[in-house]
Amino acid sequence: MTTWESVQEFLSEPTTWSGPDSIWARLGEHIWVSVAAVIIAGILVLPLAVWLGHIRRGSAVATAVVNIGRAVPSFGILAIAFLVLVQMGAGVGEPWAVLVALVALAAPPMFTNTVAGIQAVEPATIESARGMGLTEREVLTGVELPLSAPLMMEGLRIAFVQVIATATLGALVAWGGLGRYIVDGFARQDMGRLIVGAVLVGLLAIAAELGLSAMQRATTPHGIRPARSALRFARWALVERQGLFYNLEKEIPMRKPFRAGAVGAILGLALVATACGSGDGAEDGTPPDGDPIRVASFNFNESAIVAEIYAQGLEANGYTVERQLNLGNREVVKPALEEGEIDLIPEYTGTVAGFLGAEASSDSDATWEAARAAWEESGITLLAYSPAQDKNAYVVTGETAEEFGLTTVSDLGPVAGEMIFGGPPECPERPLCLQGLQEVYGLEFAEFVPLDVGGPITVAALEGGEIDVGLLFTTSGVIAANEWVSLEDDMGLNPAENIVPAIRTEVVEAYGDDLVALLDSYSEALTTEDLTAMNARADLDQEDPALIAEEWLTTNGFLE
Amino acid sequence: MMVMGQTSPLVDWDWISRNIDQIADRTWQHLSLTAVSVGIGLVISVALAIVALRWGWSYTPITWVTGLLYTIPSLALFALLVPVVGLNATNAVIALTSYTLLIIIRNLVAGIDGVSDAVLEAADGMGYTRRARFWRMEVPLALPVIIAGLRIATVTTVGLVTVTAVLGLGGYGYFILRGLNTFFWTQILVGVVLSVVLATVLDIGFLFLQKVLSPWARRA
Repeated sequence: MTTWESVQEFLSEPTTWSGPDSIWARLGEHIWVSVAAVIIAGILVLPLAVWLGHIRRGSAVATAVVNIGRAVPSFGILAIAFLVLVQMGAGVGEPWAVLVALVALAAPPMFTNTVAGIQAVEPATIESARGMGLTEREVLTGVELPLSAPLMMEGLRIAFVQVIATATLGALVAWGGLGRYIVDGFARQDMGRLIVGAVLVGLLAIAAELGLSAMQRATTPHGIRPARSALRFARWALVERQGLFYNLEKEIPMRKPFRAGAVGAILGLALVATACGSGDGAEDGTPPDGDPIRVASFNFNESAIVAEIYAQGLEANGYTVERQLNLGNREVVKPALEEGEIDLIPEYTGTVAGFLGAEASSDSDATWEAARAAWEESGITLLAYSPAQDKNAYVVTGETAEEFGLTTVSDLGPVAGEMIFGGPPECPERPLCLQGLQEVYGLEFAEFVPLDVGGPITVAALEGGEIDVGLLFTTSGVIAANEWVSLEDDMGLNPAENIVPAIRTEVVEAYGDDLVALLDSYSEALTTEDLTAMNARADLDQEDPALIAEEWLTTNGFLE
Repeated sequence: MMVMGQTSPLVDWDWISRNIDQIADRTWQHLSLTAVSVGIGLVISVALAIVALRWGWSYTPITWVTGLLYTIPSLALFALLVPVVGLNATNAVIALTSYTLLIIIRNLVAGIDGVSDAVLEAADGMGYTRRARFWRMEVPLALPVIIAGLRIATVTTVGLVTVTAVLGLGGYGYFILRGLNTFFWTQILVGVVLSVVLATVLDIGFLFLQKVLSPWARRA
């Protein structure tokens, strides 16, 4: 399917135009949170900024604020706000964390531009105003505020456009907004969804930029409108836009102006920087003898632990290893493996068979063989599988199970229509997730909420009651710890899911039997009970996957 | 509330010392993504700024196009580039570079254009050719503004690199995303704090460079 066709397909789906995941709903969420963030930021910082500007102090503070604001990554602020609020009991999927992060983002430019704008009013103008008998209040409202309006509006514009752009990241912390389409499209490799989302966010940001520019021009008093000569205007715009307070007209000193190689040095630096980094581009896919083995994992703890077992075991036996843990979901990892960007990843036989369009069943051997044969021609080898299995678990809380008398997935039949299902963003496209639940069990949930891959966000959502049924893993440590119920897969939707190393055939050929024997020995020793115990340590006690893996290797006699 | 991590301290220093190699790797990744993006951004900006200064009418379309690029949210741009260039550093560098253009070009043009007419007349009077006047008067005098642009571009890029974690890159952003996926405070804090430190160090570095390159601007 071409990209254009997938866009058309996405646009022709009814859910694109109505319901909680429609364009209107996502656009509405995006806009109201952005507007609210800017208004709250204004209420919080403008009074102080106006006062500081009026008494002509705090310009150093203003510059520092904008510099710090720029240095702190908004993604980091968002992550911190989300964790703090969830730990304080806020619901997953609610907009509060996003709102907090966006307020923090919007405040610096609004603060700085207001302080600077008022201070940029000529002292002579203010003196004449006072000389004419205006009170302090009249000086502020009649002279300082109107004259600084363009700069204040500029701050508002910078803040609003940044806020719209950053609200997109909200989807990474299980909130909605237009970023939802990008994150979900990415997770499902649904290019149509992804492109529509990206284009809508881009258009919204551009519309905000143009709309506020027009407002800015309209609020500029006639007396101080800039000359329309293109360069003059551009210069004026620049000084405001970036909160830079270089006074271009008078502050550039003149004496001994020439300094050999000044520009040469900058250009040289740029070239050196470019040259230094050129090794960073896409790597060539053929590892000859001795190339490092790039071990990857999916974006959940169990995968990282098993990948660490492979990586540390290989290292202990003299192989050079590069780690690309937490890479993403299968939709992202599979092409990376096939195109040679990574070499080795722990896979699950049933899921990968289904993903490759091969027959998966409850028979471990047959499922492994089907997956192996299907992947062979893409240059990927599935080594021997481990007895350890981890299947998808459909989990409800103890109270929910009791209230509706749930022990099996079939029991959900009469009540699914009123329940909210939470799982990873790719779930609606997955045969072992929503698709299978619909085809095998006939379940149609009232709503699907995209969360994470059986991780803490899904757990918190189940705990907080934002979802009724959550997709976790059978080896997840939190199910037993919370006395939740993993509904029995009575119709056999889930096939065998043995852990198996998936490795590029070229790497197997380059390193030969020693490498295979080593990985086989880990697969043989790993059990389902090991997985459950190790997951509990990672999920509940926040232990480091690397350390858990090291202990497992030591306990099983692979490391000293 | 089993999963919330009350059992672990806010900052697990053991984790940091165990993962010092990985932190070093991510530092290098963060630094090289930033340097390559700002470096390429500077080269392109210099070319476009020369065009804008030579043919004044071209400045408006140049700022329009780079302004448009600047406005597109980073996550959207990374995502849009995946079908074109794939899931790799090239994707990140193209997007990050496109964000630096507007900032650097505006400051290059404003800096050069801001040199006062009196200086230019004096240079002409002293018999400078057009080329000599440009390289020996206008460029050095514009340097503080040009470097200011590079500082802003660099600090902004350091922050944006964290978002490339969704592409499997991310520099320090990897720790933020990983910490978010496991509710592990130490990783998130390490990612955020080191990112701020890196931005600050680079900012101060440019300030120092500016002092070295424009000694006449030093005040007693």
